[in-house]
This record gives sequence, C-alpha cells and structure tokens, in this order.
Amino acid sequence: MLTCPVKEYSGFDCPGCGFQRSLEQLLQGHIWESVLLFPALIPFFVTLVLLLLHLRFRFKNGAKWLVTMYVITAVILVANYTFKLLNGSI
Amino acid sequence: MENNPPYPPNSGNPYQNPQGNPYQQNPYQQGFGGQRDLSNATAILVLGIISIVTAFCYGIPGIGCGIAALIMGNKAKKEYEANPSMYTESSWNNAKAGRICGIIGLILGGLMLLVVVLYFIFVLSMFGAIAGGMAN
Repeated sequence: MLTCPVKEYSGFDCPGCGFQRSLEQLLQGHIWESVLLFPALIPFFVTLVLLLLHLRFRFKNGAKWLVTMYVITAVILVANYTFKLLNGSI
Repeated sequence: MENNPPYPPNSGNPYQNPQGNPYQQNPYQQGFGGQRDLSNATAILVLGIISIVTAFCYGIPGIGCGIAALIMGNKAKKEYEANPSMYTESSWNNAKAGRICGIIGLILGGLMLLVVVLYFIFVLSMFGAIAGGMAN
C-alpha cells in the first residue's frame, strides 16, 4: 500500500486516509467494513461510473446527477473527517 | 457577350449549398443546426470530478485540478455566453458541472493545504522555542 505523505510526516490522518484499506475490504466483499473505514468510497465509485457512462451515453440530466453525487461524496468525506477528529481516533 | 454568370457570386444560386457538401460535415459538429460541443467540456468535467480524490495529498494536486477546471470552465462560460446558439446544451451543462466540482475540490484542497502549512509552522515554532530554551 502507498503511505500517505501527510500521515508519514505529520503523524495525523488526512481526510483521504482509509481509502486503500477500505478498497481492500470492498474487493474482499466486506461491504460494511469498507463503509466503516472510509464511507465516501462507494459514493465516489458511483460518481466515477456515472461520469464514464455519462460521457459515453450523454444522459439528459447526467451533469446534474454528477454534481449531486459529487456533493454527497464531499459532504460524507468532510463529515467523516470531522467525526474522526471529534472522536479523537486520529 | 460577356461571360459572367447570370447571378452574383455566392448569392442566390439555388444549386450552390452555402454550407458546403452535407456529406462532408465537420466531425466536431454534432446535434442539429450546426451546433457543436464547447471545447474542453469533457476535460473540465473530468478535472472537476477528480479534484476531490486528489485534494488530500497536501492539497496540491487537488488545487491544480480545481484551478484548471475553474479557468477552463470560465473560458467555456465566456465562449457560450458570447454565442449560446452555437454550442450544444449538453456540453454547456457538462462544463457548468465541472466548474462547480472544480470549485468544491479547490476549496477542500485549499483547506487541506492550509491545515498542513499551519501544522508545520506550529511544529517548527515549537522546535524553535525548545532550541531557544536549550540555548539559554
């Protein structure tokens, strides 16, 4: 696994920390463990797949859906990081 | 007798298609009425979306993608607003969406960079204080 440069030099988690562990869990089929480690992973992949499908098939409201999914991903990321900060787990 | 055609050049000749041969259309033209895609609409959208994943490695790649999406998005906005009927609506929607995502990615990346910079300033000042204390 790649080491997070922020964590390596500062010792605290960055908001993207947990991504690779979460992906590993998801690839092993452990969906709930993946959500617990990094809740924004699945919405992010949904956004990516939607982006590829939209670029290929040009859905009528594809751009709006993409922005919606993007905002959901960003909100989950920020909320998760805030929770981890307040929880003292980083 | 003069040899001129009975009509002025390029006006009113019913056999001359002003748009050229309809079977040799510009490959960049899509849709109806000769509308074409905004240049870079796809690139703006892709950059805007990936700005969020890259926003956390000290914020720098995310800031780069966000700024690129924002600058290209603003250029596309100017192009579209100067001549809205010339471009396809779907490409305009893509450019708008990419611009919004780019702005969000830029904000997140900027916050991340700010936190990291503040942290390192704090650590360095602590080191400075300790070193100063030891020197006294």
